[in-house]
Amino acid sequence: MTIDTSRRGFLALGGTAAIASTRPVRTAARETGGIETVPVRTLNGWTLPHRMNGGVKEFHLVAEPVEHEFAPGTTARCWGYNGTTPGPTIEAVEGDRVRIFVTNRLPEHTTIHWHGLILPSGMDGVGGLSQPQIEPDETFVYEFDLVQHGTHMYHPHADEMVQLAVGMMGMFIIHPRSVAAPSVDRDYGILLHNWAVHPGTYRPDPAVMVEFDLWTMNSKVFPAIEPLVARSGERVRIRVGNLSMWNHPVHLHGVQFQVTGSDGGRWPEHQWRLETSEIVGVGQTRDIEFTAVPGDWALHCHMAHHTMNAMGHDIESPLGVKQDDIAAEIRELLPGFVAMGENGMADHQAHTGMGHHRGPANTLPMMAGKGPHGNIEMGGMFTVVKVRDDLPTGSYDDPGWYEAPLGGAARRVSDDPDFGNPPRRS
Amino acid sequence: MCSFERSVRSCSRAVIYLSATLLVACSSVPIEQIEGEVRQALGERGRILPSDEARIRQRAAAGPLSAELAVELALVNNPELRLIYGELGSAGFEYFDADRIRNPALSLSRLEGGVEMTIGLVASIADLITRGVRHDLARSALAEVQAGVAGRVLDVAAQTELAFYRHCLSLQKAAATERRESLAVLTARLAERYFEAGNTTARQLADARTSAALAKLDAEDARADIARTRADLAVLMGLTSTDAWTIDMQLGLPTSPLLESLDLQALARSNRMDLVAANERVALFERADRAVRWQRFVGDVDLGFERKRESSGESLVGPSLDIDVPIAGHRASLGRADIALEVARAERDALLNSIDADVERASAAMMSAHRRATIYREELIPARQESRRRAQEEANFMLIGPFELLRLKEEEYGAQADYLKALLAFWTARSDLVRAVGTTLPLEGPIVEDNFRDPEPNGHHHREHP
Repeated sequence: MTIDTSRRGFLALGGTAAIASTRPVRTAARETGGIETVPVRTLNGWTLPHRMNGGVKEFHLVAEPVEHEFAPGTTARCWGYNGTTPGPTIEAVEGDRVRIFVTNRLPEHTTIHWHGLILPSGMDGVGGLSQPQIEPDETFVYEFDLVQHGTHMYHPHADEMVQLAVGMMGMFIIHPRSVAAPSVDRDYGILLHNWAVHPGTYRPDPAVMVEFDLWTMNSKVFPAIEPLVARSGERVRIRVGNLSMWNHPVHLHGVQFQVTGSDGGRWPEHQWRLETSEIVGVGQTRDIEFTAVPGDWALHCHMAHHTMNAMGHDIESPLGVKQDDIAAEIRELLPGFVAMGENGMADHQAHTGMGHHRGPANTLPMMAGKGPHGNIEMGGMFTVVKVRDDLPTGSYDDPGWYEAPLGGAARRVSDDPDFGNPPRRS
Repeated sequence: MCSFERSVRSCSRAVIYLSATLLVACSSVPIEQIEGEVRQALGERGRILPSDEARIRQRAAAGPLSAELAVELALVNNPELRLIYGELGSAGFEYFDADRIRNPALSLSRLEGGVEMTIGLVASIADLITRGVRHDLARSALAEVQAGVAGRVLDVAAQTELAFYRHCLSLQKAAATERRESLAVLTARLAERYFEAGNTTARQLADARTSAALAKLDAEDARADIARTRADLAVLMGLTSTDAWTIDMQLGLPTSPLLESLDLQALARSNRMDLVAANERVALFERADRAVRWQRFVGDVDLGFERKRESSGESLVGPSLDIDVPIAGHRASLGRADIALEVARAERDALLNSIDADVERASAAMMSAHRRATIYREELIPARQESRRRAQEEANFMLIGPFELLRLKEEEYGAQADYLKALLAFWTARSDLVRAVGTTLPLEGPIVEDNFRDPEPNGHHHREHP
């Protein structure tokens, strides 16, 4: 091949090289039956290994009690699979035959329902209907062909209210046999859930229907939820499953993403929708895809209370209540009494963060998290998508905080409340 | 020998005779001894009658009273006791009278016309003969009075002690209810602020004001109780409530209310002064019964001396002897004596039963009151405090609002006030037991004072931040 050393040729060569250098380097792929897939990254979680046995992918799940930390400062006695909640993500490929052993080490019977999978009735996992219950100490086996692809989940269908409430769930991701373009460079899995771990207690309360204390992504709350990382320009998929008791409008800052799939598989492209928020209903999964742009981008449920940890919902609002003087008098009789919330709750993280206002044992403050510019004042279903130009290929390490370029961040121009002459209505 | 000389001689013989009679008749038991026996009985039962009254009054005026000082002051200053001591004096003189023979009787008669003048001097021989028996009877009667007096002194001492505790606890209770009142008023003011900010309803504000008013009523009752108990104590100490005396102590709960080794019923049977009096009464009627039986053979016997001048001028001088021949009337006397003795014995036996029951009831009541007060002190109040501390943590995290926290603190104050009521019930029951047993009772362990102070608070005011 001759190289055109003219300027045009050089530029063309450089442009090609530039294109070549800016094209996302595909993350490491692994072969599964000849299919190249990007491994799913389950935030704070893991993927269940399998073994091949006579052409069948064998998995082994163990249903058991687990001690789980939602974030430093709150742990609970939960139930899960193979030592964690959520349980490990099962990954397979459309067309695989899977054999899944389920050992029950719970104190009561259980089953596993493969949520959204097309399979024989007897493998559907509804205790008493599809199969006998798996009694404590027993091991059952499920075996079926995967005739679809998509983002699915698994969970008990025995004493379902209790077993779901205490953490028994996991993701079941079936990759398509052939990967249609555009392929993704990063593939994340997030399972949404809610917990009634009442302040000061150590076990989720399965009787609660709506007033939950902790809202989680993969059984973690902010700031303990891992960030999603990507290199600038990579195509990122986030698979969101919802086994909580509420619908969640999942909102991503910085991009308009495409809603590309569900447990019905990756939709035909003409069905993709551009959104910045997508409601993931109870029992649903949704795949969103976007091209990563540099920055730190919030990813969260847009129900404001779902990005808070435990808080009182029946307390009298202190907003606008002048009370410092009375609080000082009350302290003569009740040392430690604090006037809070007159000007909103922004001060709350400052006080609790310094450890001044001690809360109940095993309870996280309502809001937490520190960013490069101060308190983030969030909790619950909140995390950050961190996109960097120079993130190494295949790296999932936290790159730290984003530094906006000069002029690329909001800045103070005055501390005078009468600054300027903004139009206002009275 | 002239008639005058004979008169003088006869008078002299009469005087000698009378003097001898009088000398024999007179015996004296000083009033100090009678009082001393009462003092000893009181001392054996834990109540020392102060000897230096002025010093007691000085100490009372100089500083805060203690229970012991209040009792000492009552023992020297209580007007009822002064009356009682007077009764003791009267009883002593009654005893003196009973111990003597009757005064000799002097008779004079002059007959008109016959010019007969008779002078006679008669003394009772029966009195002399029965003097020993009468002495014993009188002694028993005096002992009964002494026992009665001692019993009433013990009663006044116990009443004073209890009145002291009541006043002490009224001061403590007022302090607790005033703290609750202050907090309730502050809560109502805070509720007003929430209402003014538009964040709560008029009904919530009214509820807060209701609680404040109720707390004020409780505090007012407690303050009135101070005045009432102060006056009650002052009366017992023989002072007025406007006199300058103070109390400055926190009354608490003894760790153990009673020595377990005490046999209370035995203690009561040997210490109850009403039982002593009843036993003396039985002894009295036993002696009286014996005396009546003996005396039925001997009526009144009077020995005398008479000088009679006849109209002829002749004087006749000589002794006289009058003997009452007991033909009739003694059967009734014997019957009355027997019945009186039986009645005295029956009353004494009934009193014994009553004392046993008193002791059992009072002991059970005191132990129950102690257990109740202990539950307040060691379980309920600490649990209330812990509940409030944990609620403070929840309030710190805005899991509960301020009003729930303040309500819990009010309930904590309420528990402290209820504990003081239980404490009063205990000390009242203990006083009842002391009166049932008839002697002071030792405490096995110390009296623990309570201040219910908070440990290090678990909150922090943000104004203290830099």
